[in-house]
Amino acid sequence: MSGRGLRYRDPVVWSVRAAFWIVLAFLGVPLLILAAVSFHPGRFMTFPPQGFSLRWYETLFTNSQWTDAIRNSLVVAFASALLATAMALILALVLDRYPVRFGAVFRQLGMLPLFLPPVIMGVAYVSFFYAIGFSGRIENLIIAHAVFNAPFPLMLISAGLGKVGKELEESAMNLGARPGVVLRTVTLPLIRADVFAGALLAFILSLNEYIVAFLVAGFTVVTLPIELFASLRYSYSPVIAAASVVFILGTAVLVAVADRMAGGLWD
Amino acid sequence: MSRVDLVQVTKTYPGGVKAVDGVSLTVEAGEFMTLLGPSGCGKTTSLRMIAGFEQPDSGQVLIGGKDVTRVPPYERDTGMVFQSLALFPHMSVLDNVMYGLRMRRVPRPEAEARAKEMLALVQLAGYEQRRPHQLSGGQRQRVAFARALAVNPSIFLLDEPFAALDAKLRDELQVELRRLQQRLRITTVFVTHNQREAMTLSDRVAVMRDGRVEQVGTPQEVYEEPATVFVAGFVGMTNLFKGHVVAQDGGFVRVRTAEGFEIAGRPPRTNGAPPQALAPGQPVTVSVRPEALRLVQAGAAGAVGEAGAVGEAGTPTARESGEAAGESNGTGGIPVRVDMVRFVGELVEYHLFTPGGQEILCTYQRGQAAPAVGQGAQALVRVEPGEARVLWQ
Ligand SMILES: Nc1ncnc2c1ncn2[C@@H]1O[C@H](COP(=O)(O)OP(=O)(O)O)[C@@H](O)[C@H]1O
Ligand SMILES: [Mg+2]
Repeated sequence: MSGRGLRYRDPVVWSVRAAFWIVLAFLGVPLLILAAVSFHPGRFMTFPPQGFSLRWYETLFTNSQWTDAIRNSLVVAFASALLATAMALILALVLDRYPVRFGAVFRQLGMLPLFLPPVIMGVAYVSFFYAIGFSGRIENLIIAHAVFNAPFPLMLISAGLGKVGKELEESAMNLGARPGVVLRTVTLPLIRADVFAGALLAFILSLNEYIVAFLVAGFTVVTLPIELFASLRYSYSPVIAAASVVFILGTAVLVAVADRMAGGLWD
Repeated sequence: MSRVDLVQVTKTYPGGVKAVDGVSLTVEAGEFMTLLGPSGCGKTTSLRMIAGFEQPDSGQVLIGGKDVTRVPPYERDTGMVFQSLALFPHMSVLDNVMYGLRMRRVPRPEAEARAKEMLALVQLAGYEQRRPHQLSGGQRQRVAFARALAVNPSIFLLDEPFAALDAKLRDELQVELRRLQQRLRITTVFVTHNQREAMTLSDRVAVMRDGRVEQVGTPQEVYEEPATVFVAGFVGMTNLFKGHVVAQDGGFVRVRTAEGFEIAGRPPRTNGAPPQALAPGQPVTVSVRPEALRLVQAGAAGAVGEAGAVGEAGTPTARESGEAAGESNGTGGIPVRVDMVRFVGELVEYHLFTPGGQEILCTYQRGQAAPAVGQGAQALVRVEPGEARVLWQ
């Protein structure tokens, strides 16, 4: 933001600064090593890389094993993010604007996936889909991820509704707008950024998610994290590093976009 | 333009706060009525019940004689200015002002023309394409007025619209609001905790306290004939003396204050009701406005000094109760010590203390011959019986 502050020569200031660089190193160095490894031309991940080659990136984007995984991940992430955001929007609107009996209980329920271990959630979905005789399909994973990730858009949208406040909506009603029109002309335009940010977050989280995906549809629908894990088990190919680099870059771009949207609301 | 009636309206919030407690109030068509009272007394809740955002637990809200108690806000035809103004931040000024017209399915060209006309009326022509955050506080205020009035509502409601503005801008906008209201002759309910604002703007004022209306009257009535001690204290500055009734002679009641001084006054003439008979011994409070107190130099200079100093503005009249003065200090005056003299522009304020330590405020208008007493001087204050109000509730 505003850049360099005053250069205070104070032990607290410089030790916090030093700690900052250490933390950054812990975060960044493994990623840099991974990136370096992905350019290694040989068949096994090696650091430092012995040469420079893009062959593993080529493999990643041509080998159907990897392209299928990427496609599956994108499909699941996109569909589940849409579904999660829709559910979150409905939940948030009901809880904050059209109150129902026991609303607070439902909010807890909506937030529950956040606090449960993914394994338990995964097992719950598997049993549920098995019980209704509808299992091992990509739709299952979409639904599971949607429910699993809904708390994040729910939090963002609720916060957005809180920020907008009720007076704007009341003001619209006072001017003759029925509740549906208020929603379309005032509420939704004002929380649009929060809705998008929530959807992006759900999308990223679904892309990253391994445990629930593996349990719910692991044997039929292979997503990128599942493929990464599987490859690691049987080989040590630099394509894994290449996939990771692509993954990280993609996520970073999405996070940046989400951040900008949540920040630049209307002023 | 329609009248508004609140009939025995009561509202308790979840959690048990009784915000409005049996309020009955009529706002005549075209009238500017102010709900005045301290924070938390139920003004906003009353206004929100007229607008339809709150449902009373019991009682009725009538607009134009029609019971609208169960009618939702979007069918009530009121124009409200919220405390936060609540301008739509994602719309231009023009779209804000057009919003209500569009909701009433006015075709766009007509709506636009009407909105521009309203903006011109509040002196904001040329600001159509701005966003609310690109305007100053006063300009936003005007947009909120224009937006609420563009649909030509039957009732205009305002909830402390000027609370956030500095004094000078507030004065300007008050004048502008009053002009607008008189030009449109729109029934207006205005909420404020600022008694000056209430006095200068309103046709009538309803003074509220703890969810009830204590008194309704013109600004002059509530100032000069306060029905209760609370109203006397809340509307304008006053000096309050607790005491009990000694006797009633003629129209006046003689009261012995707790400190033993005697003050003569009369009960307020509230809403034409005959003054209640006050029996001797009845505990009462006497309210005397600072400008109704006359200050005279103590001691020998007394009789001569007072006539010369006070002049025609406050002719001393308390002489007839000289017989009471024999036993106590009587209505001949209350001895005081001058604690401070302040010049406040058009006024001179005398801050005085009685022997018992009660603070008394006495003011003279600029130009009135003010008594030449300085800090620390001993003096007498006199009350004109016609100016003192004897209050029993
Ligand atoms: N939504 C609410 N829920 C619970 N209590 C409320 C609510 N709104 C107001 N109150 C309470 O009702 C009383 C009257 O409030 P209000 O009408 O806002 O007063 P005023 O506008 O005169 O300051 C206050 O005690 C306030 O705390
Ligand atoms: Mg209020």
